[in-house]
Amino acid sequence: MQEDFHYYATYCAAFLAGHTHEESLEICYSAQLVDLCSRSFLRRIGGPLTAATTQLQLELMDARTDMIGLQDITRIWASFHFLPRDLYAEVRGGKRYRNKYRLICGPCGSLAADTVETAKGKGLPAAGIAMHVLADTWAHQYFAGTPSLVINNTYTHFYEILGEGPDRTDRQISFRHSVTLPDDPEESKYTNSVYQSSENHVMNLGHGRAGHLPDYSFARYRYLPAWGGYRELVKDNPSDYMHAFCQMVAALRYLKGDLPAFAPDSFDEDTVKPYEERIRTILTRRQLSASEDWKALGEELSGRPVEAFDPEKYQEEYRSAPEEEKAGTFLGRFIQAAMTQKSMVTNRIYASGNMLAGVSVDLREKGGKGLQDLADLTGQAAESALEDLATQVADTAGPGGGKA
Amino acid sequence: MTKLRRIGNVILGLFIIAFGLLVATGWDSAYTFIIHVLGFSLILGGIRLLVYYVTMARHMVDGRAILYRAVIMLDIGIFSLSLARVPAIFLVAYLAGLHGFTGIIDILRAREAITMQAPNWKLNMAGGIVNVIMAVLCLIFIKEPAVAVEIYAAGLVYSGVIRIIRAFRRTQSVYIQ
Repeated sequence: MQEDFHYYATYCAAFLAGHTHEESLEICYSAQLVDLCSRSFLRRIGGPLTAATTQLQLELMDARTDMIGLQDITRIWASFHFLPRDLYAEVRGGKRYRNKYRLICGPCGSLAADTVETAKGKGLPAAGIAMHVLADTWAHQYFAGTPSLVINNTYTHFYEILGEGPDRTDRQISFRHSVTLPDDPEESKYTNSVYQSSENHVMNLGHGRAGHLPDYSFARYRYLPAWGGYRELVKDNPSDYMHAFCQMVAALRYLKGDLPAFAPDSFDEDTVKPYEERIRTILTRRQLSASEDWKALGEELSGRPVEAFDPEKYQEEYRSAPEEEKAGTFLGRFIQAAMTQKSMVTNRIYASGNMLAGVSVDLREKGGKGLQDLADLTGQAAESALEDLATQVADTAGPGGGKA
Repeated sequence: MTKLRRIGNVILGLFIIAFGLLVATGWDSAYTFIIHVLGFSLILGGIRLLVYYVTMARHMVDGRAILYRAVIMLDIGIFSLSLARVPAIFLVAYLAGLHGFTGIIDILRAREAITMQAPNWKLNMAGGIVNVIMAVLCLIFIKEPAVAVEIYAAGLVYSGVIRIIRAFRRTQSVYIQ
């Protein structure tokens, strides 16, 4: 997904969920920032590099593809852009293949619910991050957030579906590798990444081989995913994006406290109903960016102007804050929420017996190992957990014994 | 390209240039050495691909292409080693053939890159043309082994230089976020 959905559509969803204009702006800003918070960005503001939620093109080009490098890439992309649907999915094949297969992204999985739960009570930046992750589970489904030829490759059998019913025509998509030419929906000419025969090449990360098609709300296409055993998949983005929107509204209402629970398949269709036709029109219009349409809808909903996304907006606040107050700034809260999300997903992947995102220590089970890192990550909450654990250890060790 | 890979390519490029110069000076065992390095590299590459096919690629749509590549690499590797004890003239012919084949593949890839409007076609095309010219010259002068050896050595130096240039080039590629 792109700025049109992560920023403007998220603003609309937040406002429909009952947030004020100002709150909605914070949520959608955070959702869009996920696509910009790279290590380069964090270096610029002086933030912790482990909070990176994306990697820029040049960062990826220099990324290592050995075990450690792959785990770093997977932690970022699986946590924020390609949330795995089923970490215990069964598939024929050895462990190495199965581990990659299990990272295939999809909506309505238990990790999606965990993502929303993780954001509960953590403030608006955390809600925005969760909205980015939720929305991407719909757009990026069928691709994995780890470099893999056997999962993410696609083939020349790739057709765009135009029209409906008796007017339907399927046109073969001609992909190109031009870095300068924009996509041409009128002629079904799109740019994709170059085929790389190496399993772990960074070009085989995510949906590069399908180009930007998963990011366009109007796109409907059928193709053969590498992992699908020659079964053709039909991707209907307008329908998926509508589901994503209704799910975001439900999730935001839960985070706000208006709904008692959020299940993986929660959708708030009733709230969206009055705007359904309008949204469907936006989603199906063949354009490379729907930002203007979503912006107009957002401004109609709130009656307030929706400012354009400005990457500089909160940087000075973070840079100039004293060290002990950084965590309270907008970017400080965003960084903490991002680290918590990354930690949660990494831990779930590791707990499933899959090492592709690296080793993760379950702090409560491992007797406090790595607690200082957690304290750095989540500040106050972790410090109180540290104190709890220290008390437990002291109690267990008896008088005069034990240190945490 | 990662920094480590760039450094690796520079070192390999320097080795190839040094080897080309060694061949040009008339080192007797140069051919045998080349053929062993070539043969073992291909065999190892073939085995690696076979393992990849068995563990991963057999589950992939069109995964058999990986199997075919593995078998062909293995085959050429074994064939290369079997040539270690034949007269130098046959070796030069074989190496020229191999370079010719690589050159044609490079040209085809460059043509494909042009069709796909990818920016990397020029270096591929240049490399392909030089490889083909080198192979043709080797075959023309095959009855004059000294000249063929000089041509082959020049080709090696060229390959080394290209590898080093590629290592220093800014990587421009399409990446979809």
